[in-house]
Amino acid sequence: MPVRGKILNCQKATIAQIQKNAEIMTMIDAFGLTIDLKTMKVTYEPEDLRYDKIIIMSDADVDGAHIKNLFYTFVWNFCPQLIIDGHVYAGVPPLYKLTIGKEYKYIKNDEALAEWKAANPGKKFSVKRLKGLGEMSVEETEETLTDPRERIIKQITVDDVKGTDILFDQLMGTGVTARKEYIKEHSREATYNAE
Amino acid sequence: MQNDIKNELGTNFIEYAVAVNTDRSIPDAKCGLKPVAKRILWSSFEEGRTFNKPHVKSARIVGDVMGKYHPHGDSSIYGAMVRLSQSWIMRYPLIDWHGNNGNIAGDGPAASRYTESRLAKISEDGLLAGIKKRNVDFIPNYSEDAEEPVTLPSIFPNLLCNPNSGIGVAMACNWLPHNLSEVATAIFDYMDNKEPILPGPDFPTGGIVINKNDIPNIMKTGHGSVKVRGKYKIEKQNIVFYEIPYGTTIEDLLDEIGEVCGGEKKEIDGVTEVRDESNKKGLRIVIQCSKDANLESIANQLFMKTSLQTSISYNQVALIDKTPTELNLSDCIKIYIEHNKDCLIRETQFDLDKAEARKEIVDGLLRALLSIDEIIAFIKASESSAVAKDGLIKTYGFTENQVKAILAMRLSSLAKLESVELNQERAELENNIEEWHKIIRDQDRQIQIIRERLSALVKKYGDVRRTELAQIETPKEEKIVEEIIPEDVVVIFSQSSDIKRVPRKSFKVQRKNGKGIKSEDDAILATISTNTVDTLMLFTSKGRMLRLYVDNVPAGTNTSKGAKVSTLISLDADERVIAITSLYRDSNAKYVVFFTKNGMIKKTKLEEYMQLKKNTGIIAIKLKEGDSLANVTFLNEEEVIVITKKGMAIHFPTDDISPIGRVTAGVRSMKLGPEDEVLIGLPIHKKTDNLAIFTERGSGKKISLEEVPFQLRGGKGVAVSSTSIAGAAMIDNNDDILLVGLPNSICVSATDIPLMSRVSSGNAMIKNSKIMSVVKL
Repeated sequence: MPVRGKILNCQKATIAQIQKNAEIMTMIDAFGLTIDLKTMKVTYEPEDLRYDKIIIMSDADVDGAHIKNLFYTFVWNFCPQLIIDGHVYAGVPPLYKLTIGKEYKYIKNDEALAEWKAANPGKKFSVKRLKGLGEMSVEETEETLTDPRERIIKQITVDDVKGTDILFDQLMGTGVTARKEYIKEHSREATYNAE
Repeated sequence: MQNDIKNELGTNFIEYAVAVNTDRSIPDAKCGLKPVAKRILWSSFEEGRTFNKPHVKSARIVGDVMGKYHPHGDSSIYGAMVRLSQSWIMRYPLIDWHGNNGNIAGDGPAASRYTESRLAKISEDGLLAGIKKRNVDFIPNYSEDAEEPVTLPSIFPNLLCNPNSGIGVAMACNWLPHNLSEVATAIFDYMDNKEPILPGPDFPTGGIVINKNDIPNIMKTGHGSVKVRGKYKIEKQNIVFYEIPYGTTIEDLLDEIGEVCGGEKKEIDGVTEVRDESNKKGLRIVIQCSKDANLESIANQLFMKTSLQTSISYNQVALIDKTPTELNLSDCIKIYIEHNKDCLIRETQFDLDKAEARKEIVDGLLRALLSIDEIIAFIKASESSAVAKDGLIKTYGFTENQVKAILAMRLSSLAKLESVELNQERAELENNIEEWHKIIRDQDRQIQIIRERLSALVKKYGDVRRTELAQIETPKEEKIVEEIIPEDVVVIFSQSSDIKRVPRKSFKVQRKNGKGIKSEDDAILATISTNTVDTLMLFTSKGRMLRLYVDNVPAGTNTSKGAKVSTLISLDADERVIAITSLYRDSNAKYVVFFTKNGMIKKTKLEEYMQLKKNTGIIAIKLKEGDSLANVTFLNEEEVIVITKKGMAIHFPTDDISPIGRVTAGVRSMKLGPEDEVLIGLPIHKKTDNLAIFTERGSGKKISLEEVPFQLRGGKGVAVSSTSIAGAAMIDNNDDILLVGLPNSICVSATDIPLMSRVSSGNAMIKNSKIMSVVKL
């Protein structure tokens, strides 16, 4: 199911905004959840769920990371049980595609690339950096993201419901101060390197 | 693979936040450009889209930027490019445009396939000069097949001269444009160790800044806001605006003016028509007024009620080494000078390296010419040119570069003249090398050169200030009050949410137990004695506070029905007004004090309730489930008396109650008996005042304060009446009290109310009528 661009931040949005948002409403439908349009309360019957795995796939860049968070925020606000029960996954697209002669290989991240280089000294190869889902061919997408044998997905788990609630409110909510604090505290952990 | 949601959310968030804040929305402090703008300028320069060449299709430039340096959406690149060209946004446009790039009326630009552009001259001279000499750092682009500069040289102080705004994650910036000549003066002053001064922002759209006195502090801190007004002239009965505040569009202004001068609300009288007559000669918004209208007054009201006066904030945040940093004027200038020194040194080093390499060769050639016959013989005797090369290095001590040049010498250079020329060149090189060494060593010399370059830039591009700076005092309330005739009134608010105001003079003092005058109000919730120039504070069942000008409350008589309050303020569907108060008599008060029906008291600093815009409410109090407000009033440090419906009263001090924030519930005021509720809390302004109590049955009395002994807060209090109380007030002998009742109301003098003990039952105040509400006039 294609969801284009950044979806609505459900932590901040008003009920009216959410009701008007076609993408959110379609997703609720598509998952097999039922929603009461007046109260916007979602009910979730495990047997009515259409899919066992709901996998969010986004670009392997910072905007992709943001979109993932917006998606989690949406699910957490409407139906945290989906995540708690382990139905939500994130697709992990590879960062590089190596072509060695006629063969090719996907490489997950920078570390894996360095490892490969160390393990195969002197081999001739060309590297393509996969910047977004949009630039992959159908075959590439299949090989890396949709084929259950090949793809890498990670299951999103919850072990501290209350703490998760607080963190969502802190990072995605309306208050700015908490976010500022969080950035101050954690900005060193970012691997993002401005080009 | 598994990942805990907290971990996943946190990592994603921090990656995104850091990327957005350091590589998207905040400009670089050195060149004052966001990454996308920097890349547009660099790519245009690199591709030769310069001012001395014809314009090229904008789509081409966008394509170059996107493909080589900025792997993001084309619309955001084109948008940034259009903005860099807009003369009503940029004080000094950096892109020269051909075609439709939008306009101040509010229209957007044509699509990128239609428009053409190239670098503006000032970008080449001011932001890219010397970049070919690699005077800034370069890094590989995202795909590592090209290089881009980390920042631009920027002898043009772009950070201060041009505007910038951006919203990051939990962080934002807003830079206002300034005048180049003034910025240069500030920089020169700083170089001379004087305090740098900027008179204020200079918007490309002109206008008047009306709070000039705030500017020195803004320059000191990098924060604060300026109020900008449009400029107008009077032509017959027309107000003609020919400059509008920065950031507004004609279209939006026309809408706003139309709304306040006509439409449902019609807040401004006397405007008959609004037209846009802007053309190529300039901007012209014509506001046609009726014959008897006061044009100055209409203009002032327009400033108050529309964006013809706009507040614009300074929020000077820029990146230093990729870290968002708050900067004041001195910081900006310091960065400018350091950056330009650095560029100058690199540029000079580049020239120096080149000159030294050339000097090496010239030296070699001159030496070779001295013994040229010998060298020719040596070369002739060598077996190959490689042997000749080695031999020359070994035998004569030439360097490799020198030998290469000697072997490449043409026969014509053997002419005598050639050696004269070479000698000349050598002298020149030596001069330059000495000078450049001096520049690299000598800071004063560097400063002097930066000064010269900046002066040249100012001479070429400096222009006169467009925005006027003034100090005009505009106390908001008074401006509106100006149009209102002050009149003492009583505002009556009923339980069914009807509100009206009745002139104070329509209540004549009568002897007690008279018949009174007819009134038709149903149950009364509040009566307030105030004045038409005052503003009411309305508190709702959701704990919000809204304001309402008394003048906007419909005037009525004793017997008329009021208007529904929901037509005057914006309430939610399930929200009711439950208390009303007015500051009119207590304008020196420090606190707002709330008494709730369930026996809570809360005091909060008055200023927390004063910063409120027209129609949007604020949260005033946190009401517990099932609780409601009894009344809201004002307080300094006085003691208070709290009275319940069933006739209990408690008297306690308030100076030990600490003031707390708006969104709080407060502390207990008194312990309530079963089915009792707080009716009113009264501050005691004068200890000699008496407490007047009126019962629902229509009797009244006053009791001395000594009858209600001082108690600790939270107690039960003492009985002051045996029947249900309708209202109470603290009075002295000069007061008149209005008793609003059914079917009649009466106004009595304080002297006519008997002073009695707290257990006695009082005298009849009104004949054959109940009392519902009491107010001191």
